[in-house]
Amino acid sequence: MAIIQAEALSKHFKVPVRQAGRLAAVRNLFSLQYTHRIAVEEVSFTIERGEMVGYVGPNGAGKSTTIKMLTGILVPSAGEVKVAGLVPHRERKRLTHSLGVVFGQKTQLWWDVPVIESLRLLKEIYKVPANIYKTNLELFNDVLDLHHFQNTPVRQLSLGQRMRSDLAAALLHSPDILFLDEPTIGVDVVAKERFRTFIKQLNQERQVTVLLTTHDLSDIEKVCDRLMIIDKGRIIYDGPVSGLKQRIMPYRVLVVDFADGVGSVEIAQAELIARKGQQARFRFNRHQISASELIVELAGKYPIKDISVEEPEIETTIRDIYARSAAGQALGDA
Amino acid sequence: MSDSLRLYFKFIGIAFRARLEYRSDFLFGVVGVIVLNLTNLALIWVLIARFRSLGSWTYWEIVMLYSMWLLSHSVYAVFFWHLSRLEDDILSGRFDQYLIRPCSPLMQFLGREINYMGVGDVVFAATAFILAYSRLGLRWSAGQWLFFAVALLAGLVIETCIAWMIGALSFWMGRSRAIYAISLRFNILTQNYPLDIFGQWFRLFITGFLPVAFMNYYPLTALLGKQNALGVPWLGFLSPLVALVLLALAAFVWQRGVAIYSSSGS
Repeated sequence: MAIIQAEALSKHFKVPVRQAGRLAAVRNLFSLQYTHRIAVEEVSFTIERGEMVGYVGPNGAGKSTTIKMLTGILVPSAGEVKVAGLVPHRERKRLTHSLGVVFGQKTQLWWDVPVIESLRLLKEIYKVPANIYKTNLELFNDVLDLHHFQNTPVRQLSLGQRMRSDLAAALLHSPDILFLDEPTIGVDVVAKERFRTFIKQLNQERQVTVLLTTHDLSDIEKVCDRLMIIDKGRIIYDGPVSGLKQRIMPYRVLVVDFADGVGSVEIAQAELIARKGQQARFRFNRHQISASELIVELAGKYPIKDISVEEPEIETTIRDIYARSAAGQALGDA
Repeated sequence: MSDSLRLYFKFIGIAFRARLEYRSDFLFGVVGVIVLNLTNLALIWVLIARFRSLGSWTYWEIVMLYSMWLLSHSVYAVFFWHLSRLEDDILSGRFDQYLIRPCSPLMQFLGREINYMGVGDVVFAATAFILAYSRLGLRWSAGQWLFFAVALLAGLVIETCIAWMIGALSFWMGRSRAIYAISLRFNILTQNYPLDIFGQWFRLFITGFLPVAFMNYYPLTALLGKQNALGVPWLGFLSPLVALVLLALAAFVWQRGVAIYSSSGS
């Protein structure tokens, strides 16, 4: 059964119209003109229990607004939403027991007291039974090394430690669903790796459903099976992470090191995009020519020392999707 | 409810520990507030030394008036001062956090901070009140003491609810601290001097619109057997009622505000 369901979910904000020109600041003070800003527009998706879904989009695309509607912080303007069988904005308090939320930009811990004090208070807030509290703390110690900094006031933690503490805080009551909004922002590579391992372990052992928004697409690639891309309030891609590159980005880059003495090179079905000394980079559409055909053709004409094929980065892929969405092109197999 | 209260005290415990992280700030704050109050009363003393009395009020009567207000105000200041800074939580989005936990957002917000400076107020107010009581040679009956206690509680509720209501306005306005600053100026102005010395319009304003005169002036005139400025003797017994009306009003504004927040976000 689906654990998260959104059906034509929309959120519009009423924002005052800002005028420009002479005395604009004063006129804005008394202006009663409003305009509607569309934050999320008719978004529909279903997430099954135990899925790990990445949710990406440029700033202001509607990611956070969606998450706020799923948690019950915001009431939708239109559409239906159900999380863990509950309507979030109507049964917000009941839903909190099934939800763990990390907002990477702001901590939910008490700033001036040791981490463990925050966790003790959260235990009271969520009425976590003593044995579950103990098991979870042991897990946090094992995987997140919580015991190394649990007696340090939060304001003295490094960003990585704070992120781990926030994860612990969000998971203390063993929620079924975990919303992670930019959890790895500003965190170093080692801490990121640790975070990814932990989330995957949690998902495998406890069937925790994860919705992850991030600007770091390698988080998505390493953690999630499924990707949803939102732009200007609409979902423009929803599908597996692995198939994305194949279906959306038909281009590959062939990097060739020619033997000494090879001058200008030309080949019909590939475009030369860079040449540096004896190394050349060709871009080709794999629907028009396969890498092996291209290599055979090249090798027949020029002496070659080394050869390799580069896959497009997921970032490039997603940038390409935004660009196409902006140009109003349909997505799908290219 | 009792569960909320128990949690609230756990929150306050953490807030207190957080405050103690900055020990010297704590001590300076407490001492500073006592000095501030002494200055205040010294100013009134200078005024009275020049003019003999203010209206029909002697110096020690004014000390009592002031300390009665300060007793309510100091408790408000210790526990509820940050109501005037609700806008920070709304603008920074911290209010979101209160909504993703299974307990009341109001309780979480109130439990977030305590203001140590108010402790200096409490100490000062209690001392000043005891001094005034003995200087005026008062002998209150048990009934009068009970009335006094109820009036103090009402005073606490009145000031808290005014701040609460104004704070909650930031759900609509984004910021509302300017309004709070104005109301606080009015409040302090009236607590330093008896209402008798002000003009009629101001008396009505402080009675009907920003009813801070019910914190100390009306109950105390009743207790001291003085004529109050509006000449309506039973006004002194109205304090608890005023407090209850404000409480209902503030709770309503708060509830509407939270609803607005969840439709507009920060």
